[in-house]
Amino acid sequence: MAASSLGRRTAMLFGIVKTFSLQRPVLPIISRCGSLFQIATYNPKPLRLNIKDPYIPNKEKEDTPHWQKTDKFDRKLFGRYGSISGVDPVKLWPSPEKLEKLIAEEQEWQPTLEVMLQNIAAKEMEREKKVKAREKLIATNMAKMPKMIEDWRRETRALKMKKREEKARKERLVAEARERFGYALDPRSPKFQEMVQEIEKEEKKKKKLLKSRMKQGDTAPAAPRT
Amino acid sequence: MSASKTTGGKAIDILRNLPRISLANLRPNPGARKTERRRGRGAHGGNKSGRGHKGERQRGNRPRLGFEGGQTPFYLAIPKYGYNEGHSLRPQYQPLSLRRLQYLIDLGRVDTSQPIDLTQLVNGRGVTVQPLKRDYGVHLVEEGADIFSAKINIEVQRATEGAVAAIERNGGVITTGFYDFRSLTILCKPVPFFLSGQPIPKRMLPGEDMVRYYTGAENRGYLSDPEEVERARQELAQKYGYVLPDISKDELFHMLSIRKDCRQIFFGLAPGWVVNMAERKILKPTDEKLLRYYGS
Amino acid sequence: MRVNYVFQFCSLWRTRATESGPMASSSTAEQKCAVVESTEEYKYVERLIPPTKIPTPPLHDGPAPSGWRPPSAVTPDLPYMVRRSRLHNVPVYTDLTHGNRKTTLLRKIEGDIWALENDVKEYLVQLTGKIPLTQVNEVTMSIRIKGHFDKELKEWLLEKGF
Repeated sequence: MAASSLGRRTAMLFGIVKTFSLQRPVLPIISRCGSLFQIATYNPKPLRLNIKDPYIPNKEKEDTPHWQKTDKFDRKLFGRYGSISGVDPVKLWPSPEKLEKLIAEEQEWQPTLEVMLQNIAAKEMEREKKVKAREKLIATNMAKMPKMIEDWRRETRALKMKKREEKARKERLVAEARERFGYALDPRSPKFQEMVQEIEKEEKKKKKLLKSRMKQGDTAPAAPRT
Repeated sequence: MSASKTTGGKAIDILRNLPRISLANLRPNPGARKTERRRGRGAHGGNKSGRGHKGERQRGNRPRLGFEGGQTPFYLAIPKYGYNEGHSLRPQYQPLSLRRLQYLIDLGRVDTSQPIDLTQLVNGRGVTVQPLKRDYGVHLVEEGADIFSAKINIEVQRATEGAVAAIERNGGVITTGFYDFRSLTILCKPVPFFLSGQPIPKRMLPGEDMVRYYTGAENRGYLSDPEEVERARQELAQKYGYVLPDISKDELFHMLSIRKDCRQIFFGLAPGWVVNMAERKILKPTDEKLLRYYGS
Repeated sequence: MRVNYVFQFCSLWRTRATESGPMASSSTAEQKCAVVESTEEYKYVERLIPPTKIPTPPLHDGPAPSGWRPPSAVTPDLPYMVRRSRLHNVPVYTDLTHGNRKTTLLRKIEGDIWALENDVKEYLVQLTGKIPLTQVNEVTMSIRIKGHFDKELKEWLLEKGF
């Protein structure tokens, strides 16, 4: 390693950095096809394309393996050796049947740009429509909201009032019963119920009297009651 | 004068005066090799042989990795989430910074007098693209935009806005183009493809998810309208605050205005042609159907 | 300002063979002939072939925009020489082993390696304040320094003219 690198380094010591040269001998193919190295590395291994002594399989023989008689192999032969391979150039392109299949496949699986743009536009429209519909719904519901809030608040307030009244009424009845009977009476007992009914009747009478008085009072407000 | 012609300094001089090297007089440096502790052979490798005292540790019956004594282990307690779902179907782009591009241009690995393509970048060993690993090409990134000062006609697969601005600021031209898997493989390794003797295929159009990108003028897509691109250039110049140089008055205007057709893979070579490298010729078909197919 | 793009093969599609035979109604393709055209478009193929030799960098006035500087035309008058790498860069590399062990490697040295090691130690003592640990490998002609000093060493070598 040291010896070979010595030689190279001594050559380069004189300050001239020329193009890096291959250490292996250059193959004759380079003169024919340009620098034909398929691996993209600097200083690659030589590609033994074997162009001087090409192997072209004999199609008529039975010995040659089946894959050397295929179209694909013929194309590879032509690509590597050119016209020496004896392959008819017309065979490189797809045959009319194959071509028709290709065209059909393309039409089925590869839409044109206009079609794709249309599809995209259609999808966008749908998405936007959905979004708009949702937003509209939200907007209408939000518009209804203040009224709904008010209603609900009113209802809750009414309920609360009712409950409070109920409670107060019950307490009053219990107090009445207490006064009348002299002991704490269970609201569920029949005595209590009777008492409640009596009180209700009295109240109804009072209301009727009030109503009739109001009517009399309306027609003849000045008429005093004796 | 400057350097001596021998390798090594003191070692080789010493070696010359010593007897011949053989296995009998070679020895590693003291402290280079430490004898290993052999378990089960007495003193500090012996007794319990580093296994601890009783229990599962000594008896070699510890439960599997991740077991937490019955508590739901971490790797089961954490719920699954599809972070990597479909990762093998996501397109990837190899990043190329403007700094690296400038470095390649400075070292002469990429030629600015011709339009720069992915093939030119790969030939200059600037990027490595692996189409088989879901790479869809090269992504130009604006790292090094302040250093960048080269007038080029470059075609990449994706580009950030800052990179586009940097290139146009220096009077260059940038386009983004889509290459499907087969076209990309051919673009990266053209010589094996030519050796296979197949006709150059036509590039496929991008899928619906990418059509939007490549028809947009802001991305300088290859399917976009040239007028919109011109407007976008002006807007970008205003946004980034530089004067857009007039390319039409440039001496390299012809080179800078070369673009690929949307079905073309290589500059100067049309789909349907067969390249004969052995005889340095190109074969073109004459059949109408073939021409129509390759021309569509 | 409208830019008219030159699409590469707009005119190329129109080329047809002068002797195009009649299209065979049968499926055999023997009557069609392929046109052979050489060298006119083959130059585009030649552009695609990857080069095997590393290209020489073009001449720049002073440092290049990316920061690359060529080695000085006059080799410096020192007892050692540090060659450039194959791709014309200064051969200073950093290494990170075991996740936390930082070293700098200076390769492609020729001549009196111990003198270079002395100079490197002096320079780094000025920078850091303590003498850096170095390892000289006389067989591979390289110096390994503890710590990451790649930027500083690269600049130092460039100043020297290597």
